[in-house]
Amino acid sequence: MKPDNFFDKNRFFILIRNDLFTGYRNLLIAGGAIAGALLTIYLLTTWNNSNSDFHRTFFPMIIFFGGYLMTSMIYKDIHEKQRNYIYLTLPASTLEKFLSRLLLTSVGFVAIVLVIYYLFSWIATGLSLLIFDRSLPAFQPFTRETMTALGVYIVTQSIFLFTAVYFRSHAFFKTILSLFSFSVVIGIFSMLIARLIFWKYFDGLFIPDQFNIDLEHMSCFGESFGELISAAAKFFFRFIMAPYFWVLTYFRLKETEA
Amino acid sequence: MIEIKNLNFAYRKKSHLFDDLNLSVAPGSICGLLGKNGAGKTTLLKILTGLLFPKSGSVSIFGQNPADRLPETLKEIYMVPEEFYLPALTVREYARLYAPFYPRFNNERLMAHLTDFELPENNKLSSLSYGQKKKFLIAFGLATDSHLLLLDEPTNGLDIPSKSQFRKILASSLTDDRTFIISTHQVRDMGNLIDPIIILDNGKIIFHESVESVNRKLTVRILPEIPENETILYSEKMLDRFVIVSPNPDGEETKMDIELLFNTVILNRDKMDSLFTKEVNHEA
Repeated sequence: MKPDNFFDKNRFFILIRNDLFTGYRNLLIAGGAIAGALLTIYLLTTWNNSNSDFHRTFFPMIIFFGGYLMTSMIYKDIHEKQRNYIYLTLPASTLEKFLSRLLLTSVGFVAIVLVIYYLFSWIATGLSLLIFDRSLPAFQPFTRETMTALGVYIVTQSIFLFTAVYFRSHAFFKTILSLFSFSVVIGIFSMLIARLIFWKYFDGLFIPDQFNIDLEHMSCFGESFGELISAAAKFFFRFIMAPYFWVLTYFRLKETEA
Repeated sequence: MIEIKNLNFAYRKKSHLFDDLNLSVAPGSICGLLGKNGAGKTTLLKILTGLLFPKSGSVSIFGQNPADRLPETLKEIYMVPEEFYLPALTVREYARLYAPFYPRFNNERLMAHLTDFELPENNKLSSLSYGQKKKFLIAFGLATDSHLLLLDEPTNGLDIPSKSQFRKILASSLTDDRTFIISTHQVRDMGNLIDPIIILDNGKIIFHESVESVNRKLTVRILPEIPENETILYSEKMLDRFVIVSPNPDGEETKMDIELLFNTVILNRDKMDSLFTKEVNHEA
């Protein structure tokens, strides 16, 4: 395959510009909603003098809920019969099309929300001081906690990106339902495995309280079993999960038909 | 060159639409794709554009498989669908966003076609009427200078002056390296535009001939009565007379109406097959 057919820098930037230009109304609406919600809830919270951890709670809510919702709608055009011809026949590679929307819904969304949130948190502080003569602690965008929330968003957002391509309609709700169903299935499956392995300790469906399985004291390759599982889960979450869903999204996009 | 070999295609939960379909179209022609409702015309156009993937067989557009959707292939294909959406952008905004993907895009040509079609430049595309939107897409498609332009029912929604404008613009835009494929039911709107004529029926190409060959092999006459002792392929009562299509024994060229040709082909598949195969054998 010629390199031009796989990735072309200029074409990629034009594609990002187009995606931004055609979606800017949605971005404005989202920005307005974030600003409005922030101002209202901030002022209500200050009036009530109830939550000094306001930004620690509210910012992740905006990032996760807003981001998942926006990601779920990013591929709406490829599922609409009268619209998909524009996107699918646009002379750009699948990789460029995928990367453009991945960037917009992950890093792009985070950057835009950070700017809007930071700006309006100061406006909210000013208004609060003016009206109530008091304010909540300021929003700190570069704390470890905020950065962790953003990192978690970028990883988990990959699931919503995949389902946005996969589901033809109501991708957001179908994803939530799928994740919930998946958790229930995993829960039941784990319970069955535990029931099979530790069958002799069970009394009916449950293990009596005095019996305690302590993973910390079980070892595997000289490491505590609990630590090993925790390290494996962290590794999977940090390095495997997002790339896995990105690859799935790429191939699903490549195979999408009108 | 467009080359389709042994194409098989089926929509999910439906029986096969195309079974071993073969088609070859040379550049430099405006090809008319005709067929009854549900014959597979739009599906065929979508397969040529890479919007649908064949189950088996090969499709080659200038040596590339459209299903790969490579930018190199896509920049040479432009499709004007029958039903479409246009974003809330002005003509200039749309051109600024999408023209850079077509390396030979000609903005002057776009503006000239828009003037020919009397389209407003500053209105949002989404606010235009269906016919105006269609004219915009046709103008944009022609301005891309892509080698393959696929038009699905292009004259649907066009007013009478626009239809003749459409024919003029299309005829003047054809070059040796471009191919236009028009799928249509509005055969009278096509006038003398399309050549060759392809007829699709039940997932098969049942007719693929040049206009010259049709005019040489078939004759159309208007007579007060249907003559006896003569092979009549198709006849249609028209007030007090009959329009009759029959084989043209002396090879004298008469002008064939496409609608009559379509009905003749659909009702006389075997006779038409033998009539035109004879010619192929004779020419070979």
